Amino acid sequence: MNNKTLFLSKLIMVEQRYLALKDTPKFQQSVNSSNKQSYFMRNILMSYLSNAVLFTMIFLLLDSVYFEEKDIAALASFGLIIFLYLFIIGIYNSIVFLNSVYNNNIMAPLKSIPIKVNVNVPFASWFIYSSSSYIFVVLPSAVFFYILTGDYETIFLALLYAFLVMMLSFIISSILFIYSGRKAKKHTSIRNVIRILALFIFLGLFYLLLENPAYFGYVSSAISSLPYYVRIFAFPINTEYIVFYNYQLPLLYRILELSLSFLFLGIVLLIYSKIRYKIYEVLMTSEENASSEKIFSSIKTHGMARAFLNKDIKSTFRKTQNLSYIFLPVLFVIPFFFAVDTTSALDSGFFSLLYLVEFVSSFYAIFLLVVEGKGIDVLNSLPVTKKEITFYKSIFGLIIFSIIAAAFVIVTAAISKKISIYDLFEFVDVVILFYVIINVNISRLLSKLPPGTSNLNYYSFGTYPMLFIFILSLILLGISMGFAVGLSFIVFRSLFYYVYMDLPVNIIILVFMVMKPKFFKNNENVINSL
Amino acid sequence: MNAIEINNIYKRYGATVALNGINLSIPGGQIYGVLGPNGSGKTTLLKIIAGILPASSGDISVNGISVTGNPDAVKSITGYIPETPALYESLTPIEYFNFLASVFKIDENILKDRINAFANALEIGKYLDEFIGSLSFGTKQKVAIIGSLIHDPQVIVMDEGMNGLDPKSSKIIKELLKDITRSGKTVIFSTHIMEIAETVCDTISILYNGNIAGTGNLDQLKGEAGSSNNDLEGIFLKLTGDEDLDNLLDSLRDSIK
Repeated sequence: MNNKTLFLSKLIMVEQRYLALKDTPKFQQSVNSSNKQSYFMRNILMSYLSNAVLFTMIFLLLDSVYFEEKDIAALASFGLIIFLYLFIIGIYNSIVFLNSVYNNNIMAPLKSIPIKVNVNVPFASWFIYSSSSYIFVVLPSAVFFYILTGDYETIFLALLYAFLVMMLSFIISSILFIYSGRKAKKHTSIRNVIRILALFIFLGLFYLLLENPAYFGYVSSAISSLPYYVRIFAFPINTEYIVFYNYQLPLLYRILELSLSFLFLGIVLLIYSKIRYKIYEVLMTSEENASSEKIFSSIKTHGMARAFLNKDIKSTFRKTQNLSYIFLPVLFVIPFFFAVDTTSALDSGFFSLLYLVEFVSSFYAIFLLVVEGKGIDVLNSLPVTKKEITFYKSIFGLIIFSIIAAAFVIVTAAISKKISIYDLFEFVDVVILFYVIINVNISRLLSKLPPGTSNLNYYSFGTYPMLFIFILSLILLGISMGFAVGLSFIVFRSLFYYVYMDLPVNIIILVFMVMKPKFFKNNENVINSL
Repeated sequence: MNAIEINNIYKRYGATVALNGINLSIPGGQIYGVLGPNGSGKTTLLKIIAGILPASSGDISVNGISVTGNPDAVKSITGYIPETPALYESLTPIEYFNFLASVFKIDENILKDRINAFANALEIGKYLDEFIGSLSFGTKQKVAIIGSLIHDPQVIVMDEGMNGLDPKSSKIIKELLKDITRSGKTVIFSTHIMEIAETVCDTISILYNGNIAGTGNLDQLKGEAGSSNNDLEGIFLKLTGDEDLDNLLDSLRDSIK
C-alpha cells in the first residue's frame, strides 16, 4: 500500500471525525492552536488504542477464568464467541462507516483532484484506522491456549481468522450497502425489503452455523457424521476446530489445514476484489445519486407529534440502507432463538429472548438521531425543546420496536404452538420498558450535543456511545426484572408470576421517569454526565 | 422600543474570542446589515440572536423577549436563514413546509396561500414535489428562505441568505424584505455583496475581529472611516484594514507569474 492510499484513507477518517466533532467545545478550543493538524490524528489514535486495550482487557479477564481452571475445551468454545463478537462488530462498524462516508459525500471531492484514487481507499480507511483495533480481542484466548497446549499455530491462526472474519463482515455490509438502493424513494420497494430480509436470513443461518451446527437437524446430523478430519476444514461451520483444536492433528493434516485456511483467505480476498470497484464507484458518486422521482402530497398540517412522526418515517424509510440498521437487533437474536427449549413450562427462554431483543434494540436511540443528519440544524432553529425531540423520537422508536416485538411474540406462539395471556403480558411489559429505555438514552445522547450542532453522525456522541447505551439499558432491564422476580417470589412464593409482576413494575418505572421526582433528576444528571 | 437589543455579548471558544462585548440597538422596521470579513463573528452573532447558539455572557432581547431566558419564544417569532441551506433531503419542499407549518401551528388555508405565492414569486412551483436532495443549491436556498418566512416571523435573521439566488429571485427577495420592514418587522442580515448592503440596508454594522468597527448609514460610516470613497466597499476596506492590500496583490501577482 503506497503513501498516497494511506494518506487518503486517513483523510476519509479525519473528515468523518471532523463532521462529528466540529461543533464540540473541545474541538473549538483547539481550533487556533498550533497542534490543530494533529488533533484528529490524536483523536483517531486514542480511540484505536482505547478500543484495542479496553476490549482486549475485558476478554483477557473473561478468558483468565478458563485459563485458571486449565479448561481447554471451555477456552476454545469461548474463543468462538470472540469470533462471533468480531463478526457482529465488523458488520456494525462497516455499515456505519459506509453510510457515513456516503451520506456526507466525503469521497466525492476527490474527483476534482488530479490523482488516481486507489479503489482500496475505503476498505483501508475502515480497516486501518478503526476496525483492526478489534482484532486484538482474539489474542488473550489464543495466547492462553498456546500456554496450555504449546501450540503456537493457534496464535497465528487466530489472527488469520480474525482478519478473515473482519473481511467477511465488510463484504457482507458492502453488499448490503451496494444493493440496498441509494436513491431516496417514496416507498422502499418490496424488492429491496426482500433483498435485505434475505440477506439477514442468510446472516442468521451463517451465524447459527458458526455457533453450533446442532441447530440444523438433518444438516447438522450430516455434518456431525462427517469424519473429524473433514469437519475441521469446513469453514465457516466450525472455526473452533480450525483455530483451536489443530494441535491434536498429525503433521500432514496441519499442513493441509493451514493451506485450506489460506485458500479461505484467498476466496474472501477474491470476493472483495470483485466488489471493491462497485463500493468505490458508489462512494465517489454519492452526490450524483439524487432521485428525480416526483411525490405528490397535499398541503396539510398536523399536530406536533404526528408532524414529527411523518417526517421521521419519511426520512428513515425512503433510504433503504436505513433498513439494515432496523434489522440489526434481529440478527443478534436469531441464533439464540433456535436454541430455546420450546417445551419449557415457564416460557422463560422466549421471555429472556424478548428482553434480549429489547436490550439490543436500544441501539435505535443513536440510529434515530443519526438519521436526522444535517436536519438537526433545522430543529435548532425551531421552537422545539430537547425534551420534545426526545419524546417524538422515542415514540417513533417505540413503534418500530413494537412491530418487531409483536412479530417476535407471534413467531414464538407459532413455534410453541400455543398462545396465552402470558404472551400478551410479555409484549406489554417489554413495550412499556422499551419506551423508558429509548427515552433515557435519547435524552442522554441529546444532552451530549453542544448547542448549535449542525450535523450528526455516529461519531457525534463521544468515544463509546454504544457502550453507554447498553450499560444504561442493562441497568434499566436489571431493575425491571429484579423487582418483578422479587415481587413474584414475595407475593406468590413462585417465580412463575414474574411476567405479571413486571407490568406494574414497568408502569411504576415509566411514571417515575415521566414525573421526574427530585431523586430522578439528580440521577439524570449523573446519567447524562456518562 | 428597539426590536433587538444586544448587550455586552461575548462568545468564546476556549482561548479564541469570537465576539468581544458587542453592543447594538436595532430599531424595528429596519433592514439591518452586518458586514465583516470572513471569521469576523457574523454567523456567531446571528446564531446567538436567533437563539441557536448561547452566548458566553451578555444578553440579547428580541421584541422584548430575552434570548438567554426564553430561546424557544424567540425562535417562534424569528425566521432564520442559514448560509448553507440545511434541509431534510429525503422530503419534498411541500412535505418540509407541512412539517414547519405544523410546528408553528399555521392554518392550512393560510399555508396554501403562502406556499403558492412564494413558489410563484421564486419560480419553484415545478420543484415542490421533488426530493429536496435532488434540487440545485439555489433552489434549496429558495426552499430554505420560504421555510423561514412561512410563519410570518416578526424578525428575520439572514446569514448570507441570498447566496446562490439568481438575479430575479434576489431582486424579489430584496423587495420583499423592504415590504416586510414597512409593516414594522425587522430584518437583520449578513452579506459579502456590498451592492446588496448598499441598496437594501437602512443601517449597517461592520464587524471586525469580534468587535464593532463602525455602525450607521452610509454617510455616518463614511465619517467614521474618514474615507474619501463614496462606496461601501471603500469604507469597508478602510474600517477592516486595507493597508496591506497593494502588497498582498503584488505578492499574489508574483506567485502566479
